[in-house]
Amino acid sequence: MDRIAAGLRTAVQELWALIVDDWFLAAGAMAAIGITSLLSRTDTPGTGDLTGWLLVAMVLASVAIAVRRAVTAALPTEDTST
Amino acid sequence: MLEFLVAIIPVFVASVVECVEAWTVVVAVGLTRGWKAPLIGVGVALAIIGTLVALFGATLVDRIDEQVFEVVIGTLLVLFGVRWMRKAILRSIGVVALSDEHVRYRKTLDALGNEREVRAFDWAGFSIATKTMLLEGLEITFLVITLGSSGDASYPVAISGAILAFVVVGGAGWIARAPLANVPENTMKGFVSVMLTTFGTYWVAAGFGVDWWGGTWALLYLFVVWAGAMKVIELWAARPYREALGARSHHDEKEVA
Repeated sequence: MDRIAAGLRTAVQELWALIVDDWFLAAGAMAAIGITSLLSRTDTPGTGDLTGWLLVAMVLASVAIAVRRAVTAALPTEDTST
Repeated sequence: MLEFLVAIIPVFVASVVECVEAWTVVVAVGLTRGWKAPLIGVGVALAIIGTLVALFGATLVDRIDEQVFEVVIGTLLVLFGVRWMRKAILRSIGVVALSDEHVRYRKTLDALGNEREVRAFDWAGFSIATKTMLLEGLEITFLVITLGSSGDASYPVAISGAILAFVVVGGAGWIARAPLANVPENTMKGFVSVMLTTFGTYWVAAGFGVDWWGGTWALLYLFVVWAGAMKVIELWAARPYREALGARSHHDEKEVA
């Protein structure tokens, strides 16, 4: 039983690592898809492909913020030891 | 003969469009991550489609909700795509070392004295190729069933058209792989990320009922938008990093002097 549980845990971890490199980015993309799903249910006539462009914009914003976060985290810090 | 050609051409042309979409992703993944996993993925996808057709036959069209399928596969492609895009941008800026996976692989290989292959099976490459081929393959299957049963073309003619398109486009992709292999690795990875995100956002929106202007042609302008946006994000995010590095080296130079 323990071996099965350990195997399942490893499989889930592998799958998670395949998709999620940065939780913030994955959460942002999923939120964008969730919002698109809600917007598509309102079914407003005449909106054409506006909902699609909103999805693109939201996913794009998630990528931009995730990249900026990684860059900020990698910025060289001021050396105060001297 | 003429009748056969007239019957086969619509299926062939429609299947070519779907095959180009599927093979483009497979070739791009093969070039960046190796061929074994994506080609096995293609085989698995074809086996799944073959099994579904054998089990359900022409009723397959009524049994699978294509829109749900598009949302699920599109979501996974978006997740893969944005992950690769973030990494490609960070490599390009210099935050992440170029080709770090390759360096890690070489180090592991050296540590083991090159005695055995240490590279694990590429599940990401396998998964992307399988999903893409499965979605496009099912679309072609629906096309074959629809045209094959509508009287415009018999089933053997419709199936021949689809197989011909699959072989022609796959062969063209295989020939194109040699010149494409000379493209720098990070450029190719960035290209793949743009492509996955383009297909992903297109399919998710289409699955939610969005009618993209121009239909399938929307993939082209979405690709341009994503490629342009990737460059803009790179320029925007690179600035503070390069300014900080510049200030640091200026500070170090002053200390040495």
